[in-house]
Amino acid sequence: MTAPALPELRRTPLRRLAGVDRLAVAGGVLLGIIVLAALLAPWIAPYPEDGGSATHPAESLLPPSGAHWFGTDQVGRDVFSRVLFGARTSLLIAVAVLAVSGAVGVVLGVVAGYAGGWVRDVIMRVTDVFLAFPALLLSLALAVVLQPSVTTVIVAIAITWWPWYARLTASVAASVAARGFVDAARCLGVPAPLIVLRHVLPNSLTPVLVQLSLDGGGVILTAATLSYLGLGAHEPTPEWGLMVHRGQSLFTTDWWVVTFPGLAILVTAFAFNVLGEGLRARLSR
Amino acid sequence: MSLISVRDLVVRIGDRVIASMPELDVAAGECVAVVGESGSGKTTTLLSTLGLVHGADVSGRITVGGVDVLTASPARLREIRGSRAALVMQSPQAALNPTMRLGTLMRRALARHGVKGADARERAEEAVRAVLLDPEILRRYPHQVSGGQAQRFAIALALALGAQVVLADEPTSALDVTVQAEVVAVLRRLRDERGLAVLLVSHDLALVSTIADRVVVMRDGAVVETGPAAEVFARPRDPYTRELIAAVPRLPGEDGHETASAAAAPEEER
Amino acid sequence: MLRYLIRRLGQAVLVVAGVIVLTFAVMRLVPGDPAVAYAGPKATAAELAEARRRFGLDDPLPVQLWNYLSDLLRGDWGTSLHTRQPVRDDLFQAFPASLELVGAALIIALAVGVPLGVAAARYKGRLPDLSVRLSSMLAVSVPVFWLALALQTVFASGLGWFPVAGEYDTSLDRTSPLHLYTNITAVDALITGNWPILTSTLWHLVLPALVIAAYPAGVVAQMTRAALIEEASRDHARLERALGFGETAVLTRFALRPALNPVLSLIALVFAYSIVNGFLVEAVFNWPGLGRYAADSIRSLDTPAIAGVTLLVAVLYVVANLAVDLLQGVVDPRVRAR
Repeated sequence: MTAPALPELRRTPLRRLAGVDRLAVAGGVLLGIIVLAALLAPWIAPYPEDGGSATHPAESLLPPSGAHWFGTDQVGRDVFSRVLFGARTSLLIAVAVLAVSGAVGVVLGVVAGYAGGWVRDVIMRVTDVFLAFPALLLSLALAVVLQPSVTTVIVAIAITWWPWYARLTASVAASVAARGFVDAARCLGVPAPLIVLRHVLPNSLTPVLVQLSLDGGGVILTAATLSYLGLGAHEPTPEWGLMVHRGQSLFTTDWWVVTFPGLAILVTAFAFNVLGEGLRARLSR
Repeated sequence: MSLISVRDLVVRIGDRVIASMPELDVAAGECVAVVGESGSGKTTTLLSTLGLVHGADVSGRITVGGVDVLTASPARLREIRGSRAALVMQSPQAALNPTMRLGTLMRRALARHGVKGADARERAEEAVRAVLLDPEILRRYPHQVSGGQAQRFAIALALALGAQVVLADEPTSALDVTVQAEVVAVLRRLRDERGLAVLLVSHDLALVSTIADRVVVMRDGAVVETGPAAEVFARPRDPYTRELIAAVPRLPGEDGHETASAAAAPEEER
Repeated sequence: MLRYLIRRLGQAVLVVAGVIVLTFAVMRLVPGDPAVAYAGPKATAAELAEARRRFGLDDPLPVQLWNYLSDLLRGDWGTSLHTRQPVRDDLFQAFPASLELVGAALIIALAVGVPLGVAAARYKGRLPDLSVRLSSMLAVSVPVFWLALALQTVFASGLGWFPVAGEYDTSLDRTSPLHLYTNITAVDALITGNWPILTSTLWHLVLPALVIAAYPAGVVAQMTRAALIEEASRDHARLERALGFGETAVLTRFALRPALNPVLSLIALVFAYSIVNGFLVEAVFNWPGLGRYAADSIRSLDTPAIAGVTLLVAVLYVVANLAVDLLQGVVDPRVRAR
C-alpha cells in the first residue's frame, strides 16, 4: 500500500542527492582526464616536438584535419599538441598559486585568529586593502616590474589571492582558539607558538583546504588572462592565453588557432567549478 | 459529519514508520488535541491532513470537508488548503513572510480563493476584528507585531478564507503564559460561537486541558491512548499518559486557562 | 545602527588610505623614469631636471607620499603623462562609458540570472535545474577575452549583425550632436531625446555587455537558486502552501523578495569585479572607457594615470561593499526598522 497521489512526494530527496553526487563525480572525472592529458602530453601528443620551439613554415595555418585535429598555427605547429602541453602550464600555475597563497593566507590567518586584538585588526585591515586593490592591475604592475614569465604570473596571482584564505582562516582560528583545549594548554604554560602549531593550525585547516580545491577555476582564468595580456609565459611556451593572444588577429580567417586554446581554458575552468560545486553542495548538507 | 476524518494513516520514510493514526475524527464545534513528545509523529499527522508532508510515503484515507486528500488532484488540493482547513504554526513570526505586510498576505490569500476588491477588504477587517485585533494591524510587517498578535492574525486568515477547520501546530509554545491564554481564549470562543473545528497538536497538557474535548496521545509514531479529555486526564489508562500528566507541575484545574504551562520551551519537531 | 555605520565608514576610510599607500609603492616599483616619459627621450639634462623638480621626484620618499596624499585630498590626482590632462578629468571622461557598459551588463545579468535561478529552484533536482546549474557554471568559467573575440568574430565581423567596435556611430555627431549631462551616452541620448544616437549606442552595447554579463549572470542564477531554496524551506513558505498557493506562486510571489536580498548584495560586490573584467572587453571592442585608458597608460608607463585608475577601482570596490550594507535596508523592512 503506497501513497497514491501526494504531488510533493514524487521528488524524493534520494534522487536529489544522487544528482549532486553525479555532478561532483563528473567534474572530478573531467579534471582527471585533463590532469592525465597534461602528465602524458609528451607521449600522447601527435607531434611532441611542437610543444616547444619547432617550426614547420610549409605547414602553417592548415585547417583541422585527420593529421592535425585542431589545425596548425602561424609557424606550422600542431595546435592539438600545443593545447595538450598547455595543460601542463595551466595546471602548474594553478597548483603553485594555490600552494603559495594558501600557505601565506593560512599563516597570517592563524596568527590573526589566535592573537586577536590589535594584531588581528592590523592583519585584517591589510587583508582588506589587498582585497580592494584590483587584482588584475596589481598583477599588471608586478608583471611589469618582474618581467613577464610563468613565475611572474604565479607570484602576481598569489599576491592578490592570499587575502581570501587569510580572512577565512582567521575566522576559523579565532573560534578554535576560544575552545577549551587551547585554554587548557595556555594554563599549562605551553608557549604560544607551540599552541598555534600543535592545536590551532591543525584544527583550522579543513575549511581552507576545501576552499582551495574550489578556487582552481578562478586561478586558471586569471592566469590565462595575464598571459593573454602578454604578461605571462612567452613564446615558445605553450600557454592557452598566450595562444589566443597570438592568434587573435587571425580569428576571422583561421578560427582554429584561437578557438581551441580558448575552449581548453573554458573546459578546464569548468571542470574545476563543477567539481567545486558538487563538493560544496555535499559539504553544506 | 466530521470535518476531518482520518483512517489507517501511515506515514513512512523508507521502511521507518514516522506516524500512524488508525482513526481520528474532528467534528464542527469540537477541539481534538493530539499530544505527545517531540518526534511522536503528531505534527506529521497534522500536516498530512493538508497533504503537506514532503519526502515521505503517506497511505490510508484522509478526508477534509468531504474531500479525499490523498487522491485529490494537486489543483483540488491547493483549493481546499486555506479555504477548508487552515494552518496555525508554532513560531508566530517565522510563519509570516518578513518582507510582506500582513494585509498584503491576507489580500493575496483571499484573491487566491477568488475573493477580491471591496469584498476582500470587508472580509479581512471582519476576520481581524473577530480575533480581537485592530484592522490597523494589516498595515504592519511581521516584525512590528507581537507573537500573540501574529498567532491571532493566523487564525484571522483562516476565518477570512472561510475555513471550518483550524489546524494548530503548537500554537502557543513560543509565547509567554499570559499571551498563551489570549490565543487559547480566541480559539475557544470561535469554536463555541462559530462552530470551528480545531485540531490541536501540542506537548503542553496544561494547555490541552483548557480547550480539548477529546485527546489522542501519541508516542514514537503510534497512538497509545484516546478518549474524552476529562476522562483521559482523570483516569489515564496508559502508563505513558500517566507519565505525561505527572510531569505537569500543577494539576490541570477545571478553570484551566489560568494554569501555568508544563513546558514553555519551543519544541523542535520535524 | 548608527554606531555600526560609523565603524564601517571608519574601516572604509582606513582601507582606502591603505590602497593609496600601496598604489604609491607600486608606482615607485615600476621601472622607467616618469621624468623621461614626460620630457621625452630627446630631452636635455636641464629639461629632465626641470621635469624631476616638477614632479617632486627629488624629494625623499615619505615626503613624496605625503605630497601625494595631500594632493589627492585636494582633488589633484596628478597630470597624465600621455594625454597631458589632469588625471581626474581623464577619469571623469572615461568612467561614464565603463559605467554604461557594466551597468548594461548587470541589467542583463539580473534579467537572465534571476528567472533562471527561479526556474532551477522550482524544478530542483530535475532537468531544468541541472541545465541552469551547468550553464551558470559554464558562464563563470568562460575566459572573457576569448568570449569577446569569439562574439565579435561571429556576430560582428562574420554575420554583420552588430557593429564591430566603438560606443556609437560617431558620424552621427554631425547630423544629431549629443548634449552631455551625465557623460553616459545612452542616458544623455535618452533624456535629450536623441534617438539616432540612442539606437546606435544600444546596438553597440549588445555584444560587449553580453560578454561582461556572462560571469554575473552565472553567479546571480546560482545565488538566486540557493536563496530561493533556502527561503522555500522556511516556516512562512509552509504557511503559504497551507493557504493554497502552489510551488511556483510560493517561489515567485513570496520567497523571491526575501531571496533577492543576498542577490542584490552580490551584484554590488560583482560590480567592481566587472569593471576590471570589462577592461579586456573594452580593449577588444575599442570601447572608450577606463579599460582603454588603462591600456594606453600602461603602454606609455604613465604612472599617474595608472595610479588614478587603480585608486578609482579600489574606491569603487570599497563603496560597493558599503552599499551592500545600505541595500539590505531597502529590500528588508526588518533592517530598515533598526
